[in-house]
Amino acid sequence: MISPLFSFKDTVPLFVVIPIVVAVLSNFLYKRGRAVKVIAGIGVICLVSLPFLTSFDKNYYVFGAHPEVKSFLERGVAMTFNLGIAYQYTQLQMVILLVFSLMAALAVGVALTMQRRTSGVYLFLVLMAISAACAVALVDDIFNLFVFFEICTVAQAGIVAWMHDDDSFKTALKYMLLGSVAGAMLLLGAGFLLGSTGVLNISDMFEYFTSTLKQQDVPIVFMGLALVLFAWTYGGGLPPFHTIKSELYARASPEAGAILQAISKVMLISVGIIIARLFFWRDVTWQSMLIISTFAMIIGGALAMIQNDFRRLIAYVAVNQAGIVGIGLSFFRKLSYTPTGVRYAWGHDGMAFGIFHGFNEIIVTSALFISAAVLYQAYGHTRMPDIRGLLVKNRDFALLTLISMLAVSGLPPLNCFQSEWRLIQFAFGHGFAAVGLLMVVSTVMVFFALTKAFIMMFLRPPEAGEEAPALKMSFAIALFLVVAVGLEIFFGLNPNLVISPIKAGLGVLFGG
Amino acid sequence: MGELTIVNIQTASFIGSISLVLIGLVAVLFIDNLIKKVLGLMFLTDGVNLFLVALGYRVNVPGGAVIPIFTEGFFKAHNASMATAIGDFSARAGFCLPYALVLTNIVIGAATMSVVLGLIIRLYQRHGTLSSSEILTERMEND
Repeated sequence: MISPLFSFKDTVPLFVVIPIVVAVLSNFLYKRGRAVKVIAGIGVICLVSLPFLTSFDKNYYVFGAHPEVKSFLERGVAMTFNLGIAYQYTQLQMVILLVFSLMAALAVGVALTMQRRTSGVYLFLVLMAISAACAVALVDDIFNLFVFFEICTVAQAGIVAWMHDDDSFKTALKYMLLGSVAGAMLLLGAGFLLGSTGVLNISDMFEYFTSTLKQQDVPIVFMGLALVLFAWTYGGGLPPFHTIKSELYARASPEAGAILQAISKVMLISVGIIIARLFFWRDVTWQSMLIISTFAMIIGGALAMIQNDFRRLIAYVAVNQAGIVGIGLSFFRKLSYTPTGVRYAWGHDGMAFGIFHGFNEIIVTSALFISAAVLYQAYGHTRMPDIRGLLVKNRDFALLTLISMLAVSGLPPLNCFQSEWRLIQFAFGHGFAAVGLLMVVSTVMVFFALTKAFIMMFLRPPEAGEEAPALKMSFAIALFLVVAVGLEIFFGLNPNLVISPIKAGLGVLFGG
Repeated sequence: MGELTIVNIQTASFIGSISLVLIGLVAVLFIDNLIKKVLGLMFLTDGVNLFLVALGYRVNVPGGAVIPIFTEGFFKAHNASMATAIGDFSARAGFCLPYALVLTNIVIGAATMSVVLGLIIRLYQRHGTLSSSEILTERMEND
């Protein structure tokens, strides 16, 4: 049992409020670079400190209520009526938000040091995306999930468009068009669920489906499942949206790519858990999630092997890893109903390992994107055939990048090894030998792709007479890479520090 | 006859909303002109809104459905206790939650459409065309 250092019970909404306030202030002070840096710095430090301050013993918070409702309540008409936004904060959310806010804060630090003139508008977009992702992780209301989903889509498209080149505009437009469709599908799914259960609150729906055996197999609920699954694939970058998602990562500035992929993982995990909670009672749910995720894993690994651009390669590795996380999320299965709730055939272990892999992947892939940022800063591009001899130019950078590459390839004793090994063991132990085998194959594909990249860029000697640009790491970049590598090693050696709270959080969310 | 009319309105609204969603999807996926794609998106959003509005209808209510606003007039018309009036109100009032969702969705839709149109304007200025096949199908040199 992990406990926060303090026990503030009403700080949960600050995960959403602080980035929004900092974003608005940064936008307002967009011409004052120093002020923007100070405000953003304070804001991200506050954000990172929140998981250490916030108590999760209550698990359920309602943020904001309308004064009219209060007076309505005073008349004794509707005593339980509350218009606030419902948040669910367990140890699971604490773990996810801790790693997400840490990586996002470090990436914001890199963004502040990489730009000659700090842009308040750019920071506004980044912080709004961070805020929306935190909200998606916390929210316990399917309509507010849709609202934050849309905010996140717009902010992500804005981050890419901020690059101001033609390809970035095209990618942003494609992402917005598809995002509008996915958002509409999510809302339609919410409508179907509202029509069949009468509520929008996810915990209430879970209670409804757990306690009511009637009216579950109606087509309207299956439509709801299909539509929410559609939104999940979009938010998490799974097929058929893997192409646009990888393009989004690759077209953004590299440090923004780190944040974007971390946001995708948070959405993948959060919406995946919501799907599992709402539709756990039919096998088609985990079967659909498993098929889509396996496809993403294979496609991502295969496409990563044929890339010549380092950012593009990492983007496809991120898709591959998203597939592995999705496979873990699909490892739940309802067995039977008991008087105390639902009994799961596989317990929460498989899901916990999948979420643990998402946790690890946020760290590792962010570090690789920051490595790409160093190359982009030095060369103005990340085309691997045109980059060589990096090992002799900066050994520290080569070592830090190599460790992250080995981590994402699943080599011991690093963090992704722990999660992938557990997932593969789980798959083989529960009748999914084919999936386990494919996970092994995809790991080999990723290892091959990253080894090729390392050999091309780091081990090839510079051409004779080549004037290689200096390869320097700023303090923010060095800090990011050192922290990321430290976490990769630390959680590789102490995986239960993360797995235990995740299991505890899943126990609260799913019961049993 | 009144009940039948309400049922027909709700059914027609559901059919209309599904039609709007399908038309919107076809437009977004298959029409080449970017502005028409945006119009398709608006069809899609409006279809979802209509679905939610239709969801809030109250059908087969004795005495007819009422709008979900509890007024002094409703209480006085009943000439009864508050509890009786509230009981009757909750039995006859439409489901007001979907209407709140529609209002929020309209605002979100306006924001996202403005971003999409802004991007289209910028791409039109660079390419001089609104054809998505001409603008969007170029790929990275590394692909």
